[in-house]
Amino acid sequence: VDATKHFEPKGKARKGRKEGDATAGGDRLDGLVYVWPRPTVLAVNVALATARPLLVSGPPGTGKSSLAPNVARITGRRYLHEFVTSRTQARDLLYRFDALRRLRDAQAGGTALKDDQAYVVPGVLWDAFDPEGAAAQRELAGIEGGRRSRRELAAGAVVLLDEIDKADPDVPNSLLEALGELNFTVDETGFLVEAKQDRPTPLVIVTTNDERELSRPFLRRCVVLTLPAPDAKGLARIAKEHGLDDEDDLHVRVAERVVELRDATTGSEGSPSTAEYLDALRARRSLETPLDGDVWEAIERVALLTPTEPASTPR
Amino acid sequence: VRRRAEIYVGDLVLAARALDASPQTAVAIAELLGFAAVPSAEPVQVLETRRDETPELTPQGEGEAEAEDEPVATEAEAEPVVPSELTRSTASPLLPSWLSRLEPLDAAGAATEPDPEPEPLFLPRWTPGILAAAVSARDREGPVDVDRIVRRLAHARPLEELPRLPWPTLRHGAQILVDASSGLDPFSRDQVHLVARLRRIVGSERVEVLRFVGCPTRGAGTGPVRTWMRYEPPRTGKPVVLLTDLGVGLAPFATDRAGTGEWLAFAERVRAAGCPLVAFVPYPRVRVPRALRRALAVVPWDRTTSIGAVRRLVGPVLEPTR
Repeated sequence: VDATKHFEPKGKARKGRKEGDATAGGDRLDGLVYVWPRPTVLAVNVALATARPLLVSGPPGTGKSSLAPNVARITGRRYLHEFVTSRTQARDLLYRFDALRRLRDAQAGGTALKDDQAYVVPGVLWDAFDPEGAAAQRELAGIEGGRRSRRELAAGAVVLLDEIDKADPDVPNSLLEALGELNFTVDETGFLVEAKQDRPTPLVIVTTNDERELSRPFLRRCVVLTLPAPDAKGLARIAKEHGLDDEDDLHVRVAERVVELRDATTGSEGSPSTAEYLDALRARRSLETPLDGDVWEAIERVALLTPTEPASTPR
Repeated sequence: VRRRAEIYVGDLVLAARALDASPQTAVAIAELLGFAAVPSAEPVQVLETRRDETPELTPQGEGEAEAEDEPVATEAEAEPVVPSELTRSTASPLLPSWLSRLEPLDAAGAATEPDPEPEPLFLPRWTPGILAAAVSARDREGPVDVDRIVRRLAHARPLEELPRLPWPTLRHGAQILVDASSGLDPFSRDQVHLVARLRRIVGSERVEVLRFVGCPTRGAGTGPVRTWMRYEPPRTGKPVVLLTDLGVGLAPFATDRAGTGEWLAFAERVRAAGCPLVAFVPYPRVRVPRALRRALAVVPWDRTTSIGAVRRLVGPVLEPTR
């Protein structure tokens, strides 16, 4: 795969990297370190070219959530995100209507009650579609919001909707129209929010852990990228990008061990992911321990073999 | 750019042109866009339509030796030439190459292929909607209930809380009770499939599956029968889903058949715990005793069941209790 016309991370991926950062977690969302397989680069390019959402799935620790901030950093776009929970509703991603505040103002009487539009709080997609409008709306609603330069706004936005499968199944479906039309209406006031025509279409990156199946209409509107769990070579490369490589190739040996454990673990023990691999390397480096002996065994136990079920208590 | 429609071939063209894609990259783009590049198991047969050559069915990719075995069509000289884009083969019947490769069927009992999977009882394209509608609890977390507010304020009563409309959610997960009675034997694979579908739709970590015989009040569990315990309803608000025939598929005096009274007592326990109760029954509703139809939402597990019908049937039992 050779297409890199819109988006090419080559040469930019390491910019701003903190060598040997021993404090950051493996699942970094700061966009400083990312390894770019060619299929991932192609998928981002296709999503940009077709102005479609990019749906990213794959096992834990494969870089689903950290893809968006990295794309944002490399493309110079603004990065916006929403971590979806089981309580998230589709409308929360567009706007929220503060009914409680309006009710309080109404009961206070006098001049406290404002126009209905003043109780509308912009959501992440409003901010992506029309950042100036969202900023004005926040001001109207009396909410503090950071100012951004015109140049930054002109570059467009990358929006991460993280773990969409945590929400009820109707949430992705309810977003189809807004993501397709790049506009939506505030039901309570009839106010229309539209994406700016002179701006690049926001790149919406949606991640899923495959806990639930997503509806076919949603899938049929997305560019779908599945990130595979990295093999030992891939893990070693990630360690190198994080500055955790060793001259004596200990990071390669640990990577091979992680793959071995991953292939062998079933049942109550969680399969070690990239995050756990990096944690184990950091722990090993910090404790200056060789890959044999009790200390490494302890590191392996606590960092690589994460129990997914509480241990049963004896009766 | 406005993209209301589903991904179509225009997206592929757009992406391939925008990225100056090579043929190999174009295939990768097609896969990303959901166009499955499935290699054909059988070579595609192309009908040549050039009038100046002998028409023949040309299996692509086949070796020379194999191609020689194919009967070659020759143009009939006596036949007048009619101007046409298509020409007709006048050769002896062209037998497909696979015909000569057919092997005799295995003797009875020697087949190693598993039995074909049964057709699902719900219409496949409606199944996610049916299950989501049946298992969604209704929390009062929807839009503000203006009618209730107006009623209270019109009576000059203070609002102690902001009333909201019921809103469907799968957040609470579900407890699935699978009937292992002999009457359900014909549906055991349907039960397995439906449990798998429910796990995919509700989320596997939110789904608890227990088995029982007769009625859950006789005991339920996950492992062998001897390990089953006294049945306890889940925490308040978590829907309970029965995959059962409610005893209607068994002979009246079968030992694992629970009576209507036993089922009513079970339904009352679940209701008292504040859990919605829905039963998927692979028989028509009319065969279920009327008292049971009133006590729990009985959804016919059948191709005729629609999402709307499920909403009507389960709507009342899923309403929030508070």
